[in-house]
Amino acid sequence: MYKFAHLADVHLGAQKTPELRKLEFETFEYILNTCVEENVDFIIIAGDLFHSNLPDLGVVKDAVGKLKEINELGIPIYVIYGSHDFSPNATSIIDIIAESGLLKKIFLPEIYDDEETGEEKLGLKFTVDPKTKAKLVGISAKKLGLEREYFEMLDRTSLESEEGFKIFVFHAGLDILPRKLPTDSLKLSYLPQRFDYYAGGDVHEELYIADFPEYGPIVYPGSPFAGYPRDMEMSACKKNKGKTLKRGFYIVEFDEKVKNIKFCKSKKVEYECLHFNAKNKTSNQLNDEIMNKIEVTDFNEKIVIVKVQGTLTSGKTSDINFNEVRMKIRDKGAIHVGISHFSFRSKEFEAVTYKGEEDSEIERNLFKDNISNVDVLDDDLNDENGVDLAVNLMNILKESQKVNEKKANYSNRILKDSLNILNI
Amino acid sequence: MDKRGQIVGGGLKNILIRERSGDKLEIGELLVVNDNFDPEDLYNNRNYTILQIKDIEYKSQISPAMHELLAGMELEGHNPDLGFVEPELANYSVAAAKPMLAVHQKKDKYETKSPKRLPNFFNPLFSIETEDLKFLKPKNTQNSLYLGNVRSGSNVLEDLNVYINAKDALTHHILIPATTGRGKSNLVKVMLCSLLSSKDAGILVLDPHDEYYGRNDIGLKDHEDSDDFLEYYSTDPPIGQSKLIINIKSITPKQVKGLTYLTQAQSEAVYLIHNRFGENWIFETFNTHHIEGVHPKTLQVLKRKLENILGIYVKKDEEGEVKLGYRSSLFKGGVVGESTIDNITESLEQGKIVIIDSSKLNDPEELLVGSMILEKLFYQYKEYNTDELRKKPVISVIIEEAPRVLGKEAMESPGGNNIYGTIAREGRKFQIGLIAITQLSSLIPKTILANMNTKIILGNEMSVERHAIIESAAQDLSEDNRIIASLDKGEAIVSSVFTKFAIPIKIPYFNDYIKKFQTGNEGKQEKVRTQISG
Repeated sequence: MYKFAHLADVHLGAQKTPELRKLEFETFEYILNTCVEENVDFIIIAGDLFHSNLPDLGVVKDAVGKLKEINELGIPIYVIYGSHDFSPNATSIIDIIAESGLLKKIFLPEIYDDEETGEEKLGLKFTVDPKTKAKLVGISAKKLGLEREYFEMLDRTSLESEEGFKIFVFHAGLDILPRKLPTDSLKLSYLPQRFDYYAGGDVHEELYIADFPEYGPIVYPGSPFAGYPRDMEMSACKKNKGKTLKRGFYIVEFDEKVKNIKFCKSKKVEYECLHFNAKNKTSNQLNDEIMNKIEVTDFNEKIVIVKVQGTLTSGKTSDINFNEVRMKIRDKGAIHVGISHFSFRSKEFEAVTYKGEEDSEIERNLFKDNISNVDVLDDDLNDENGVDLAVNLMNILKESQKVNEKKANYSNRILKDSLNILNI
Repeated sequence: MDKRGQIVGGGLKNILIRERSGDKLEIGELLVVNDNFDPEDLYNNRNYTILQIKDIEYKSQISPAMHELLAGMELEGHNPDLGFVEPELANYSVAAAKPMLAVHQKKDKYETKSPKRLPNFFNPLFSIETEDLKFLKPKNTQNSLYLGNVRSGSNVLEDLNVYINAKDALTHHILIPATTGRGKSNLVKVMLCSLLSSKDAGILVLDPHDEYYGRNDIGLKDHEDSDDFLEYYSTDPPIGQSKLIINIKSITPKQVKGLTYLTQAQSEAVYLIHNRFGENWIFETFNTHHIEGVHPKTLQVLKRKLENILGIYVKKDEEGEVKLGYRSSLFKGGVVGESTIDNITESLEQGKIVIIDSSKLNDPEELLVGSMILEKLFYQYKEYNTDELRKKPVISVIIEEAPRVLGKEAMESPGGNNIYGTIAREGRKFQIGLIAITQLSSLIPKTILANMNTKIILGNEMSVERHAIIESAAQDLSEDNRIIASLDKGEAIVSSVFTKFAIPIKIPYFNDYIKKFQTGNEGKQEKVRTQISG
C-alpha cells in the first residue's frame, strides 16, 4: 500500500502582518512535517502554493528551505500552476523552483492536429512516480478560468484509456459544487473520466465528492490556512449548520485503487468570531453591544473576526468606530482582527443605481443621490454645493506622487490642497 | 398578373369563384380581389380582400344525364372521338372561398379589418403576392418569433416571413397541436433558433427525445451564439455541457405531493418533518425509526413512497451510519447539485435557452425537474415590481405531451395543483408562458385551451382533435376542418390573437434554416497553437 498527500491553495505570501505571515508559514511547515510523519510516498500541490507568481523573496526563501528538507528525504512534490501562480507574460516562481528540482511540474502539454478532424488537440503526458508507479497528469490554471480552452482541446481518449493508478490534478471549481464559492467554475463534463483520484485546487473549502460512477473521488482539500480574508471568516465563524470550516489537507492510501482517504487538520489556530446583528438597533445601541462584548471576551493569541450584519433602525453605519473596535481587540492580545461589515446598512443610506455617460457624470450622480439621503445641516454640504465639494476633494485625492517628489512633500501637498478646498 | 378566377356568387360565408380553365386552384390557396377598379390609383389608395379557398367542385353547363351518356359512349367504345364544343366554357370548377381580411392600403400604410362587406360581384381574383401581405412584416425582427413563410395552398412565398411578437405570444401561451410525423420537432427547433440570440426571452425546454440540442446531429448547438445563449443539461452530458443533478435537499414536500398521492395523514407528516428538519427532511425520514407526532406506520409508508418515486434506498456505511443511495442518476445527496436549479433559473433570467435532456428520466422525474425550476422562477418573478419585471426577459417553457400536466385528469388529481396549471392560468401577469405540444388537445380543459392565444396547427388526422382545436382558435376556423386534415408535413396554420388572420405557413427545414446562423464558424476552425504556460 502506498500513500500520497494532497494539498492546495497554501497561498504563501498572502498575509501581510508579521504575526499572520508566521502562522501562514508554520501551517505549511506543519503540513509537510505531518506528511513526513505519515510516511507519504509523494505530495501533490494542486495549485496556488504561492499567493502571487513572483512573491516576496523572504517568503520564497523560507518555502524553498522547507521544500529542500522534503526533497532530501526523497519525497517528490508534484505541482501545477494555480490561478495565482500564473502570469500571462512572466515566469512564475514555480518554474524557478521546479528548475532546481525541488518541485516537479506535471502539466506536460503537447499540441498536435487530430488526424480525423484536423482540429488541434492537447495531449498530456503522464508523469510516473518512480516508487509507486502512480501516473499523474495535470492541467495548470490560468487567470479567470481561461484554462477552459485547454479542457476543450483535451485529447481525452488517450487519458481515459491509460492503464494503471491515475491521478488527475486540476485547479478549478466545478459547476456541481455548492454555489457562492469564490471560484470560476468548470463544467464537470470537461474532466476526463476514469481517473482513480481527482486532486482539485482553487476551492478554499474542503470538499469530498464520490457521487459519480464515471469519476473517481473528486477532492478539494481547501486552503490549509487562508488565502483571502473570507477564508479566516469561514474558519472563525460558524456556518448555518453550526460548524466552522475545517482546514487541512488529505492523505490518500492506494494500491491499484484508492483504499482510504483521510483528512488531516492543519496546525491549530485559535479563532474568535464576534457576530452582531444591527436589526432593531440604533447605532448607539449596537456600539454599546460591541464594546460590552469586547470587554468580556478573551482574545489572547487569537484571530478575531468581527462580523456585523443587518440594517440599523437609526443612525449611520459610520457611527460605529471600527478602528476603535480593532484597537481595543488588539490591545487585549489578538494576533489579528478582521472586520466584516459587507451587509451592514443604515436606513438613511439606500443603495442607488447610477447612470451617466462618462465616469465623471456617474460620480457626480452618485454623490448627488447619496447626499440627498443624508440629513446634513450645513448648506455647503448639501445639493450641488455638496456635490462640487465632494468632486473637487476627490480629484485632489486622486493625484499621484510626481516623479522625484518626496513622499513627505507629496503628503503635504495633498493635505494643503484638500484643506484649501474645504475652506479650513 | 393573370386572373385566376372570377366571383360568380355565394355570400360572406362562402364566395363562389369560377376557376379559369386550366388554372388549377388549390384548397387553402390565398387569393386577392381588388375592390376599386381605377388602375391608376391602385397602389395609392387600394381596397382589397384576401380570400382563402375552402372547397372546390366541378360544375357544368351540360346536364348530368348528358355527362353520364357521353362517358358511357367513350367507355364502351361507341364513338371514342366524341367531345364537347368549347369544353373550357362547358365544364369548369367552382371554388368556395372565405373572405379572411379586408385591407385598405394607402401608400405604405395598411389598415386591416375583418371582412364585413362583399367584394364587388363578378370581380376577378388574383394570386396573392408579397406586396398584398406587406403588413405582416414587423418593424424589426429582433424580438420576434419566426414561424415560417406564408403559404398559399402549396405555393410558398419565399420572401414573406411570418413573425409574431415574441413577448406577447410567449406570455399568452402557445399551443402546438400535432400528431407524430407532421414536423413538430422541426417547428420547435426553428422557433428556438429564431429566439436563441434574443436576451428578451428565456426558454426552458423539457426535451424527452433529446432532439433539440443536436448531440449527434445538427441542432441548436450549431447556432453561432450557442456558447452564449444556450445551455444544455443532461444526466449524461457531452463534454463542456452541464450535468443534470437534483440534490434531494432542494425537493420540497409540495413537489413530492405533485408526484404521488398522499393521504391527509401522510401529507401532514411530510410537512411536519419538513418543518422540523428543513432541507434535510428526506434524509431524516430515512434516518430515523421514530419522529414525534408521526405514527410509525405513516412514517413507514412515507419511506416506501419516497423510495418508489425518487428511487432512494438506504445503505449503511462501515460505522453503521445511514447513507442514502440513489437508483436514478438524477438524484444525489451531499453537496453536489445544490445549485443546479439556481443555475438554470439564473440562465433563464438572462434570456438564455436551457434544454433539459429528459430522455433518460422517467415521467415523474421529468415533471419534477420542470416543476422545481418553474416554481422557483414563478415565485421569483412574482416578487418583482412592475418596473423590475419589465426589464426581465419573458420566460416560456416547452412541454411535450402537455395533457400530462394540463389535462383534466392531471389538474383534478389530489396533487394536481401543479405549477404548469398555475402558469397557464396566471403566468401572463408575471411574464411566464407555456408552449404546450400535444397530440390530444381534447384532453386539455376548454378554459385552458381558450387561454392559449396562439395556436400553430399542424396536420391532424383525428377529427375529435381537429374539432377541439377549431373550437378554441383565435379566428373562426369552422370551415378549416378539411384544410387541417390535408396539411402536409411542415405545413401549418397560425391562428393567434396577434395575427390579423389565420395565416397558412410553411415551416422551413431546420437544417437549412440554421445555415443563416452559422456564419461565425470559420473563427472556430482557426488554429490556436496556444501559448501554453504552466
